[in-house]
Amino acid sequence: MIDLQQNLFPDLQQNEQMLRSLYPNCSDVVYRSFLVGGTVNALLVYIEGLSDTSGIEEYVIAPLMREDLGVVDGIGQLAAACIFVSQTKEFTTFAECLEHLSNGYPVLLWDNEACGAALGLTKWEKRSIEEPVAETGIRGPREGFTETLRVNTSQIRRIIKSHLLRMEAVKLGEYTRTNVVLVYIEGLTDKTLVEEARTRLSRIRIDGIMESGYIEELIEDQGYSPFPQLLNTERPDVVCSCLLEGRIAILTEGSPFALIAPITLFTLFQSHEDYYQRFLVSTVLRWLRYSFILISLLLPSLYVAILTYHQEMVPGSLLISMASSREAVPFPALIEALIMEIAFEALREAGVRLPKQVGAAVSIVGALVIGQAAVQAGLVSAPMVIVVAITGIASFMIPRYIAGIAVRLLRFPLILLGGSLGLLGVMMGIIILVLHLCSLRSFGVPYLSTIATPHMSELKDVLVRAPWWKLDTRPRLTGKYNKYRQPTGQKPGPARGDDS
Amino acid sequence: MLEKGRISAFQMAIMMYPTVLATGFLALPTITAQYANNDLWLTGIVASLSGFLAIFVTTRLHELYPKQTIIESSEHIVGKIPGKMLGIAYFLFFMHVTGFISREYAEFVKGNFLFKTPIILIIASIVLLAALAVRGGVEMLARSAVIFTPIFILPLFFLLLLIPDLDTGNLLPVLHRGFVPVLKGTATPQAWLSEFFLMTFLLPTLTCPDQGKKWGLISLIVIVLSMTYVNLMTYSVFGIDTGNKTSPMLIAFRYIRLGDFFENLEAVLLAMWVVGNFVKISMFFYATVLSFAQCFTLSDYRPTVLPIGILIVAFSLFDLPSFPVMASVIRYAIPFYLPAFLVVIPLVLLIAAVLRKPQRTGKGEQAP
Repeated sequence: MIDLQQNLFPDLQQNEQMLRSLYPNCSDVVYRSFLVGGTVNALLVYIEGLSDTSGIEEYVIAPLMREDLGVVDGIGQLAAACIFVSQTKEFTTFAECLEHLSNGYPVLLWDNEACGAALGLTKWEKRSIEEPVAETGIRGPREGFTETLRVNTSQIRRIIKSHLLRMEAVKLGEYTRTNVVLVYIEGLTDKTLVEEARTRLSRIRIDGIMESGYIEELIEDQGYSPFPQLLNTERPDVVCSCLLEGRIAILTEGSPFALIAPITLFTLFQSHEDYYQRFLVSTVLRWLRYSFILISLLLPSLYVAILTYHQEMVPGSLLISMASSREAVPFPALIEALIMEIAFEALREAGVRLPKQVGAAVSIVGALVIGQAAVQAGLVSAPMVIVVAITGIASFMIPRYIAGIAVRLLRFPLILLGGSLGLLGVMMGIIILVLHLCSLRSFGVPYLSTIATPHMSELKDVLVRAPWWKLDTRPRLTGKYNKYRQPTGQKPGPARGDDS
Repeated sequence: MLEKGRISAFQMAIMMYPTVLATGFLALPTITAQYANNDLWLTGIVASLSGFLAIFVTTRLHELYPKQTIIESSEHIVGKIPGKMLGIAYFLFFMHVTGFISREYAEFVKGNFLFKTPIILIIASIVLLAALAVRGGVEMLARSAVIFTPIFILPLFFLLLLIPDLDTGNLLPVLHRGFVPVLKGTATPQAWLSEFFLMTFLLPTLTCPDQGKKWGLISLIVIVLSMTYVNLMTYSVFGIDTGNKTSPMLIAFRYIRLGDFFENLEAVLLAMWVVGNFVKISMFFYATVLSFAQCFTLSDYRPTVLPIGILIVAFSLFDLPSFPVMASVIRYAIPFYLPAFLVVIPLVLLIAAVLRKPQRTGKGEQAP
């Protein structure tokens, strides 16, 4: 076992041997030795594909190989005088050397000196900034995060230009050494929250991190919950608006999804576009969304419960048509509902995973088989198809996909309860659900804090979306550190100009 | 302190609403109408006296012994051994009442909706749910109550749909039999309102205890208004027949018909009944568990929740063979049983406390 913390040797040959033994069988590591000014031996090491090869040739090798360089002593002076690179870092141990190499920095070693320099000439292929796929909208910025961490941080920096924006770097994962950045605004975010996030991140011991989902499951408060306790988003504007509310964000290298904490249940039901549209429209859309979330959670179980135990609630004429359509169906309503819901979920999942060309086929087959053929064959009744279809559409109204999944998952136990105990069972399911939500916390903030511990000022962004000239205060639990967003009384109007 | 959670006075008021009203709502018009006939709407107003008394005694005791429930302060007032005995008595009382409430709830569900379901299943399921809530502590109770209480109140507004069927002439002439029938009809409602004494378990957890009295009174006034409203509505619909119906609210809900589509809404009432009783049972359950833990100075009450829950299920079946027996207990025993523990004993304790330390009265100093 080689001790990585040991210092570089003064002898260049020894250093090169050491590096070659650290990277055996690595065809992508390039070693280039040359003579500086025709006198001193030097070695340049880099990983192909991570470094800017033409830049190395032009700004490092070419100036150093000039015969008229004269005598330079020390790598520091060399870096200052002869290398045309904006960012150079000196290092002395092999561990640092490897760190720089795997981050794409070319490393320059020097004969007769026990230190080296890492040159800021990284360059790799990356996806360009595109419109976020999972969170689209009519109005609002169309930029989304990419897989490259620096691009993501630059997008945030471009929106929040204040020098108080902080970006703390952490490295996570024993093998992947993934760069993770904790973003917050100094003086606006609660210090204990930042401290808590720091300790939770530093507690992570894992071999590798592919996506921010790994981090999410490792730092949330309650591991056994269907509800996400951190928000994930690929929109820089969402991250920045949350930062301004006193929350923290966590960006992960290799993932276009940023994590935001703390959140409440209602954060998941709010869309970024609510804040860009006119407030009346947003308010009404929010109410529509809330009611459809309830529908997507409760409609199938209520249908099963009413049809099985409380038929008297259905109006007479409707009951007759429902009974006639159910006449040929061999299953009780509970089984019928479960079959249909599972089939719908399977279709949806197949549609997400399949390539686009096949996806269309799935939807046609699904629509025909489930919609028409099943009813005609007498396997399910037409009202049940309508119920399942409405439920499916309603579940897509939840702006956060991950919250939608939670609601869809909870539908099944509710259907079972409704089919076994009727409305009483459904109510019991709701009680358990509310109790669970009451016990949840996201980074110490109660999940239902906005409505279960009501404050009138909180409801302006939950029940309605107040106009921007009324959204004067930040959310109570995250923004108490810096309470006011803006001065009050900015309601526009023709008279307002006269005052000043 | 045993309970680490903190709730606001507003949350306490919200919690007290279903705690006092949940079981009462459905039977209220029947019991009051049988004695007071068309003056039944006055019973709620008269009964509020016991509510005022309960709130006054509770808040005053809490002022004299801040951050202490009655279980703790009774040891300071009457001495260690009698205090402990009183604590055990309260524990048994709350356990019995919790069982009784669960039974009332289950009888209603079984009698009107789930005819063939074994009653023990209905009782055990709601007690289990309440146990989950109690284990979460007072904060969990408060948060869930804030969400459930609106669901509990909402069906009251459905009664407004009955306005075309109302015959306010049923209520006239006012007080033509004199005031005595009204007082007789008050017997059971005043027992329900004395349940405001449960505030004693919530006052020590308030973030601003001085607001407890104010919000308790607001809650009481809203409750009295709701009782009067329900009495007026049902009597205007049914008239003299109100006293013959087991649960007039349920029948009234059957009358509701809106545009050929919303009819037979009694299942909605079931939903209201379930969540309201859930809050009520968990609140009494919490009182039971807390009085046990404080009486025996346990460091944590959570391990006792499930065993006490099993006892509560047992108490719900104990000595109550049938619905008529339960109804007669409500009519003849409850009016004395509840106020004895919830008003009389605390009042005696308060008088003793004031006599024992007159120099500290009203200063709200920390008790030794």
